[in-house]
Amino acid sequence: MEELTKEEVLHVAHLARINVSDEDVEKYKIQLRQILNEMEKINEVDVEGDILISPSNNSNEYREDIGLDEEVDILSNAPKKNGNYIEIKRFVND
Amino acid sequence: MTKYLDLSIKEINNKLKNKEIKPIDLVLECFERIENCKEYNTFITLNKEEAINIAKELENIEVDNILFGIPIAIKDNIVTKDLKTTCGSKILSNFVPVYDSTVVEKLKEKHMIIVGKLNMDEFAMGSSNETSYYGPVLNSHDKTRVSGGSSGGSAVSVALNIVPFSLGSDTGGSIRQPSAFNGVVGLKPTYGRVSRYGLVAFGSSLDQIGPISRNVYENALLLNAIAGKDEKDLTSSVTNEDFTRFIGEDIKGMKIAVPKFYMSDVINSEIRNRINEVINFLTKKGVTIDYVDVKNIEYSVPLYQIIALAEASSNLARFDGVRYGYLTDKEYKNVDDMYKFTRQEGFGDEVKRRLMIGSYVLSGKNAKTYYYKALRIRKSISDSFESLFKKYDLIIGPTTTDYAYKLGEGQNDAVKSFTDDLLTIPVNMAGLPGMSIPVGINDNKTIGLQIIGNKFEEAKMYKLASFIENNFGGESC
Repeated sequence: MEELTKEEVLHVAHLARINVSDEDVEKYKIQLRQILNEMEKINEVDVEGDILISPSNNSNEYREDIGLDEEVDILSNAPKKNGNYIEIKRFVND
Repeated sequence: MTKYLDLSIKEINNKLKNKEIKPIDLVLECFERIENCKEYNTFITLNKEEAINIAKELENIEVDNILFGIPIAIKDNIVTKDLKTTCGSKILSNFVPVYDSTVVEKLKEKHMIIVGKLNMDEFAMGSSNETSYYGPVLNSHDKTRVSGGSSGGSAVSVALNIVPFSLGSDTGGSIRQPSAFNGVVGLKPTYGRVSRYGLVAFGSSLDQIGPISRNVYENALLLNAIAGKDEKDLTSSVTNEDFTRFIGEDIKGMKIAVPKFYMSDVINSEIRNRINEVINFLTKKGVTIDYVDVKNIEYSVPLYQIIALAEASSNLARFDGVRYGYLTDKEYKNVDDMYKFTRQEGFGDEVKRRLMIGSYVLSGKNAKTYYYKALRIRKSISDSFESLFKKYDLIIGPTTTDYAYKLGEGQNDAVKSFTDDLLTIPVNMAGLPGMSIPVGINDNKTIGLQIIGNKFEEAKMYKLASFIENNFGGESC
């Protein structure tokens, strides 16, 4: 079984915005390959026609643009806040 | 110790109506059972104080429905106002929702009493409950075995009769597989039957909330309470029916299909034998059984890996350490590092693997190679089921390929958590209702029979399920 390369692992980890340690990279090289091997079985299937994104047959519905819920404190779960603002560290573009 | 919770819901309801017992008696008994069964690790958060207060308030209200005053526990990915909801994850270990999910609102309208939040695989990703940040749930029949998952706490709490009811969620088998592993009745309703508002999203086109109960009739009672159209979930559908209405009717003349794939050599032979006994029994009772093919059903695992994980990678992008949830303590210099450290520390292994795969299948050219191809195969499976239901009332087979396995057994296999759901995934792909009912116990290992119905035909499933339950439920092989 051909393992993923370190670069490939780091690429998918970046896409998913997950930092990985060197130790993790070694683990994921094998584990991600195992999953990809399983997924690639769909290459055996010859299929044409429509796609199915959702099993629901409902069509879109519009409603009045009004609040439905009572007023709630949507900031209550923010890890850091300052008054009515969520606080994060200041970033300066490189 | 009182034993009111061992009674049927009908009997409890009568005692409440006659004022022989009060809701507080049920609640206190329930918390006593929770304490006695602590080692099974079924609960993440208890709601004791609130439950006791509500029980006392109910003493001033007339018993107006069959679920009045009955304790229920909720899977921890269904949000509950002011009650911690962790999704079995470190990243939400301090998350206290500011609103109730629609299903929880409906339970409260029926005056059911929520006693706590149930353990589960992290973000419902897993099939053994071993991916929970809060530790695994132990199997109700054998503590050395897995509970199944991801709704492990939901199945075990009912199997141990800690609560008569729980809610679970099912994206690829997460209600049915643990139900089979613990000998309880679990239903994944038709996609759209139950509102998903307030269910923390995993695979939005596959997820459904559903009831777990001790028997078939009571399962239908709980579905009555949670089903229906919700303006907060556009995929939900109008429901005006009593799901118990066909229970007890004769099953003679029913036409049932068994997919050949569900009875292949991959399935444990003891389980296959048991399902065959049920099939023979049904044939004697005047049911027509045919063995059929479902096109491309053998690809359900890769299909799930592609579709569910693509949707998950999009849904779980919201965990950024900013608006809610865990934020890294590490120093970071840019916004990407803030996300990356937060997610590295906040998510467990299974979730991280799945999010990486999901991001991969949606990136660049892969979207065409994997994602769109998978959606085409999904359509062909769905079409194949649709044509079968023109000829047959229901489809049956085993719920799982094997018995509940030993804790730790699947840990070095990145694919096992997917292949466990081989027989349950097709149902989610097509949006059909599926349920697992107990049909036997072998050496403390339970066997589940799966019933699959046409869209919005749960009532018909309950009719067959009840008939089988009366003849096979709980019986030793």
